[in-house]
Parts: sequence; C-alpha cells; structure tokens
Amino acid sequence: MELIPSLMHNYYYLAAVLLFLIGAYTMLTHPNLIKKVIGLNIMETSVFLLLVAIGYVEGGNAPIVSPETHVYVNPLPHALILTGIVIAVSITAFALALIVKIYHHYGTLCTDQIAKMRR
Amino acid sequence: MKRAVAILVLALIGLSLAVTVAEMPTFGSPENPTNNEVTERYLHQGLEETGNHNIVSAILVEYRALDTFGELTVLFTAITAVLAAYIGFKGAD
Amino acid sequence: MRDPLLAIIARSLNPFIFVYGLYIIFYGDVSPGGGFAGGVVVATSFILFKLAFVSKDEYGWFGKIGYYLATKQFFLFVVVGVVSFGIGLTFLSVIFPLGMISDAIAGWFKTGIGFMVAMSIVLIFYTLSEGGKDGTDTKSDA
Repeated sequence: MELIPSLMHNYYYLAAVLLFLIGAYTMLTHPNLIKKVIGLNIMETSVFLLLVAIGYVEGGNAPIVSPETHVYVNPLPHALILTGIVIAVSITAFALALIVKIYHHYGTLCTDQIAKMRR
Repeated sequence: MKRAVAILVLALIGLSLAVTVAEMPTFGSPENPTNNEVTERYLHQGLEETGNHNIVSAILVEYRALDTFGELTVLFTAITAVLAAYIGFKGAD
Repeated sequence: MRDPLLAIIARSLNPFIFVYGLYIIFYGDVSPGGGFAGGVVVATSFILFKLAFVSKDEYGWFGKIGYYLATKQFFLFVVVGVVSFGIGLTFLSVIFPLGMISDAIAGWFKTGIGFMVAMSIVLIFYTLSEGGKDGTDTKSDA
C-alpha cells in the first residue's frame, strides 16, 4: 500500500506522534506524581514539534529579513507556538505547587498509597 | 496487567494517528495550504510597515498584539493561582 | 553554610548573564530573540543567586533586590498596568486609523513583556523553594 512511502516522507510528523505516545505511556504507568508531570511536558513538546514542522519550506532560512536570502520559512506557526510554550510553563508550575501541598498533607508521593489512605 | 491495557490502548491510538499523519501534505513543499496570502503579506511588507527585521517579533508585537496580551493575562492568572494554592488561608489544616 | 567556590563563581558570573538577557530583549528587532526568551535569561540570573546562597543574610545587594522584587508582588501589578495602558493607546489608534503602532509604545510593550516573564519565573521559583508549612527554608541549617 502507498501509506508506508508517504509516511517516510513526513518523518517529522511521525516523530511527533512517537513522542506523544511515549509521554502518554509515562503518564499512565508510573505511580510517582512527579513522573506524571514529566510525561505531561513530553506530550506538550510533541504538539509543538508537529505545529512548527508544518510551516517548513524546503531550502528556506530563518524569517529574519536580510538582503541575501529569498526563501523564508513560514513565520506564523512560530508566533503561535510561543504562546503555547508559556501556557505549558504555567500548567507545570501550578501542578508542582499542588504536588508540594499534597506531599505535606499525606507524607508520600505514590498514587497507590494515597488512594489507599483515602479509602 | 495495567501495562498491557495501557500498551494496547496506546497502540490503537498511535495507529490511527499514524494513518492520519500519512495523509497530510508532503513535508516542506511550497504548495502547502498553510503558505497562503497572509504569510506573503507578512513577509513582503513586514519590514516597511513596522521597521522590524525579525518577522516573528513583528507578528507578535505589531500585527497580533491581542494574542500577546491574552498570554500575559494567562501568566498573571498562573502566578495568582500558584500563590493562592501555596499560602492559602492562615489557620486552615 | 555556604560553599565558597559556588559563591565566588555565582557572584562573578551574574552580571554577564543579566546583561546578556537585556541584550536579547532590546535587540529583538534585528536578531532572533524578543521579549520571551530574554525574560527567561534575566530570570536565570536571579535563580543562580538563590541556588548558590542558602540563608538570606548572605545575599549581596543584587540578591536583595531580586528577593524584594520576587516577594513583594506589587511590581507585577505595576507592569500589567503599564502594558495595558500601552495596549489601550494602541487600540485607540487602530480604531481611528493613523497607521501602525508608533515606535515608543512598541518599545514599552517589549520591555513590559520581558519584565513580566522574568518576574513570573523568579516568583514561581522563590515560592516553591520556600518549603515547609510554616514558611521556613528546608535547608536553613546544616
């Protein structure tokens, strides 16, 4: 089928999908709370990679206007991803603040033990 | 047991994502639907309208300043939420 | 308790990091950079000071400035006020069209972005490293 060669042309998008799966697996299986936050960050990074790789033009340079170059990369996804990066930092900061409070209340960081304590 | 279920579900999701990604336009071609006339206008007339050599900075500060203002609001809300979750009410628990 | 090697290196590297961050903010027109990346680099200089010195009475004058900026949060309100004033002037000039934003307001806007991002990251770091339920530092003695 012609799916495999076209998949090999878009290898950047495939790498983004693989990163997303790795982040989701990390978030699902590790019982430590901090590792779940790390998995969330990996998933967000994969989305940024996908959106920036869409705007690439072959043989283009960075979008800074200078007299020598003629072909530029699409600058619009770059501007939208900067906002997304700031939102990712805000989510991580709030999650870590909540984790500090959870640790002081329960004394442990393992979700299995916390679920046992709450029963 | 939990790992097997997680791997199965993620394999299904990954397969559907990979099939979707394979149907997207070719990576790096100049006839992408994202390179439309908006990008042409920003690239060709960005320097003379704003005086910025950096097109990304010109988009963020001059053309689409409302998005940047919304994002500063998000930062401010995050700071308030972190402080509120941390200091909290004096005397609670 | 402080490590003398770490203290010497932190105190001698800090001005260069701070000036480099300011350079990235103000030269956002010509070279890659802008407000966000420059703000993060400026925040790094304050964080280096916090990591090297443990107890508060060993900060130099630079660290004390960083500590007051980070914990008394009224600076954030001032910056938000200035930035929103700039935005209001911008939108008024778009409704009654006189061309693009003038250069002065764009300059205030860029500096305001960088300042706000730097102070946000510094404030998050200082708050989360306080530790303890009574607000004492977790590594204050021994």
